[in-house]
Amino acid sequence: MHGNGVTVENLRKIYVTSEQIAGGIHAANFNLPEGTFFTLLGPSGCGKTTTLRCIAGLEQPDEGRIEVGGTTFFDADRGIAVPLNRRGIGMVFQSYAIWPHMTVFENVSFPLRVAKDRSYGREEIRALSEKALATVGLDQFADRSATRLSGGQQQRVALARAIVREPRLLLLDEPLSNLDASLRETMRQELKRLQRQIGVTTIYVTHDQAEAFEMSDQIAVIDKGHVVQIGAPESIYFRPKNIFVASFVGNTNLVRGIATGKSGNNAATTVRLPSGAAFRCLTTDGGALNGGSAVTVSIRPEAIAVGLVKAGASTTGNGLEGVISDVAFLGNMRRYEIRLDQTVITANSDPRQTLGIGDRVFARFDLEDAIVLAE
Amino acid sequence: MTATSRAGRAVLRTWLPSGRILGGIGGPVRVLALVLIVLLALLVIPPILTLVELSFSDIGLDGTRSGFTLAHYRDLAGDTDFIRVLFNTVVFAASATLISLLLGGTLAWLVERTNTPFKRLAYLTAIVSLGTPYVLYVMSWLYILGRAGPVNQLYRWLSGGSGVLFDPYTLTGMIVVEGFLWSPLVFLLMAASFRMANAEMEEAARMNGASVFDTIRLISLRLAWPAILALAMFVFIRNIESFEVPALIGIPGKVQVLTTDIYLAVKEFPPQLGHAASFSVVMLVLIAVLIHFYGRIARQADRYASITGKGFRPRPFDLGAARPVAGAVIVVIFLIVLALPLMALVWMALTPYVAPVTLAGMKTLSLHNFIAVLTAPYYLTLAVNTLLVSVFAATTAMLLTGLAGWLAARRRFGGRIVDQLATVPLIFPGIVLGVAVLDMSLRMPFSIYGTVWLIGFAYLIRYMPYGMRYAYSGVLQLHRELEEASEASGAGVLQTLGRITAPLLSPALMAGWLFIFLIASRELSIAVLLAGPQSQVIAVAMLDLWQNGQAGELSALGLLWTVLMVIVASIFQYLERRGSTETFG
Ligand SMILES: Nc1ncnc2c1ncn2[C@@H]1O[C@H](COP(=O)(O)OP(=O)(O)OP(=O)(O)O)[C@@H](O)[C@H]1O
Ligand SMILES: [Mg+2]
Repeated sequence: MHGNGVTVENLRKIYVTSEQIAGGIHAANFNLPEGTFFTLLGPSGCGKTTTLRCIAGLEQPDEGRIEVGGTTFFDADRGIAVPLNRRGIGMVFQSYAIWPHMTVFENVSFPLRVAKDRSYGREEIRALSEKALATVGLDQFADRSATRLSGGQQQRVALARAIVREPRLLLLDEPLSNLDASLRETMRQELKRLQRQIGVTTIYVTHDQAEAFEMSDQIAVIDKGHVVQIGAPESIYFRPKNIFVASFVGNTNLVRGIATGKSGNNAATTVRLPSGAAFRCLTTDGGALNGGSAVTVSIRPEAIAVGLVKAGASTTGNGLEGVISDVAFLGNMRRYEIRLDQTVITANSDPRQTLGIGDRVFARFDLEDAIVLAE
Repeated sequence: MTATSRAGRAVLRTWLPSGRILGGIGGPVRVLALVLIVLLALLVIPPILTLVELSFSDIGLDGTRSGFTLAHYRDLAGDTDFIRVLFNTVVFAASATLISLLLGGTLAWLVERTNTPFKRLAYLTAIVSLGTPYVLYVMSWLYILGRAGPVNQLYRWLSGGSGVLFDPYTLTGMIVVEGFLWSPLVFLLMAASFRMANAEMEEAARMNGASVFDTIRLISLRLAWPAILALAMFVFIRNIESFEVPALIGIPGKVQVLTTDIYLAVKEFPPQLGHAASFSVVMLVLIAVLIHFYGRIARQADRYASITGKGFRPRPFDLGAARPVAGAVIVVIFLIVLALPLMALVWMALTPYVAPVTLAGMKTLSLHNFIAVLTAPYYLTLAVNTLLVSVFAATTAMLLTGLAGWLAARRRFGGRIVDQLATVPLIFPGIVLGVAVLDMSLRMPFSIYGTVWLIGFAYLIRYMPYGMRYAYSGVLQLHRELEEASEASGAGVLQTLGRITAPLLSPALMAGWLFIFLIASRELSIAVLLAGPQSQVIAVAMLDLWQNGQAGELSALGLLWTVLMVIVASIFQYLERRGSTETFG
């Protein structure tokens, strides 16, 4: 697998309006092997589009280095900035940016007709454009005016236009956000299939965590312009590094307590609640702790098993004791609110289990499901 | 704080030593922008400098200039005539503004907010009258209100005397006619802002027990107030610059305003250029100040409009028993503003000399005037000249402002400067620009005075701001990603401009072209000082015909010309609509 990978180092682009920082991206770093489906995930305004536009060459970064397939596109220190039209990147815009004065075919063949690095013959242009249209399943639509297309078709035209020149890198900025819910589901799978089929390195922007999980090999979670965690979907979900990541991807319980002893990275430790109850949990990469420090622990609701505490019997395993304060039946699960001494945690449990308000229960979870978060 | 300054430094560090970076991204655009800046500056700055210089020059009887003098301004300050002219101008402009606001505003409110009948008639009145040359209108009202016209005829018949009810050749006459002239535009603009205002606010007031009158006073007017104020300011400025009414009514009636004073000073022999220039500079400053305030009020009005926004069809006020009255108001305005003037024109065109409307007059009706206009080569030259300068001005203005609007709307290199340069000519009243261009042409090393090109250039300068508005808002409506997608596809900036921006922008540019073409083809005040014997345009010729008393031929010419313009506009709009459905579906 030869390297059409992507390296981004210390990328930084800050918008300053009248001496106030208006947003942007601070120091993004990542390294993608060829063929990776990489997702920038974060809430609105966190700097996802900014990062993407810097890579595309639509924005000039303040600092940093961008390299794709061994070619340096941008290097602030060496004063290199390849103009965007010579980067050979395919991009799908959020609005799709289908040119209304051209047919579908003219839209898709445009990148070939304006190519600077080589000139394509008439026949070649036709063949390549038809191939791209066939890839997205629009071969019947070549002569259609671009204004007479549905949202999903427009998205495919945009995609065909982005891949027609077989780019080294494909950039997608929330390409599904304009579609209705059911179409979004199908297009998600189709996009992923296409990307695998072409094998092009792809950077995808979304604020939808389900989309990110389903499609990505790697995810970068961005918060207020900072990349806070990069990893496979599983590690983002199961090993969130901080409170923001833990609560942005999925629901979680945040339990505050005091670490009882010193512990290293990725190590088990014991946390004590103010009530005196203690439970075992796991620190993350770079999450070494000193004894006595205040910590927040994330426990996903579905990782908690709820069991009735019988008078006299002692509880076994890792967990916390509390009283059920609310119950809701949701069909696929039963949700309990369990009052510990100060906090209330949520547990998603077997829908057939019938515990009631006021029952004294033991909320049990595995050591690996209780993650100590950085503040 | 430290993060900010660090960011600031980082910006400097990467942008300063790496000119290559910038050159790489903006190369051809920079060159284009620089060329455009130079071109625009050459167009708009010399007229101002010329006027200022002229107003400080000691001018000999033979037109030679010798040194610096403050005499022209000293004359102004000591001149009671100047005070009177200034007073006339302000009274004329303010009162005419009031009339057109009352007429146009009432009509707009009735049409947009009530269940009055004849709504379409109101729109028809406004749109048709906008396409007619002002000279024609003024003339027909002069006929209607004049000594021999139907109003005084009726008066004499009723009173049995031989006096007149109304003499139009007075300041009052000027005010009334100018007020009529502007009411259609006021109507259209006010209707738009009434339509945009949120009717829920009025309905809420009614639900809370307010009477119709209170609702209008406390809610409708309050909400529309900034828009009304901005509009009043705009009309006031245009009335100060107005030339047609002062020239056709004021000069014979010996009521002078700033524009006619300048005109007469240049036409005098020997021309009083210093006097005209100092008056012109006063006008420039006055208009610049007014435009400055207008800009501030208009921004405020925009903010109000965007708060109320949300268009839905409001439930109109039920006028009840007053409905026929409202209908009558619309019909009367239709009669005054459109029907009567047009009928008067037709009457004058069909009669050999200005005659009262009588049965006896009917017998003398003939197509003689129309035949004269259609067969004389003089009129053909006029039409050709007018079309030539209008097409030249509209085309060049849209080419320049198309690029300028793009630079400005996309905040590209030079965008701000280009924007400011292209809007500077707003401060020029037509007659003032005429003086400036006239003086410049006389000082050119080659002879351009007396050619149609001189007029074309003056039109170009004056109408660039309008072109800029069309181009700028056209670009704003194009999603930026359409251009970015082209560049990401590998197209260079120039290719993107040519293949994506230009075709998508063309409907807006065409609309701007038509607008400029139409106002240029009926323009009088700029051309009146610049037209030589070989470079007559239609509006100036109409003024001459009027002054020679050839009202019949003038009417025939005007009617034919109006028909031609309506045809041109319709064809254009048809093409434009077809082009834009082809493009935008
Ligand atoms: N040209 C600009 N000038 C000033 N501030 C800007 C500019 N472009 C973006 N910003 C600011 O930078 C921040 C990041 O913007 P960006 O477009 O990258 O967000 P995003 O993560 O893509 O959000 P969304 O999900 O809403 O698209 C925002 O706060 C935005 O207001
Ligand atoms: Mg975005």
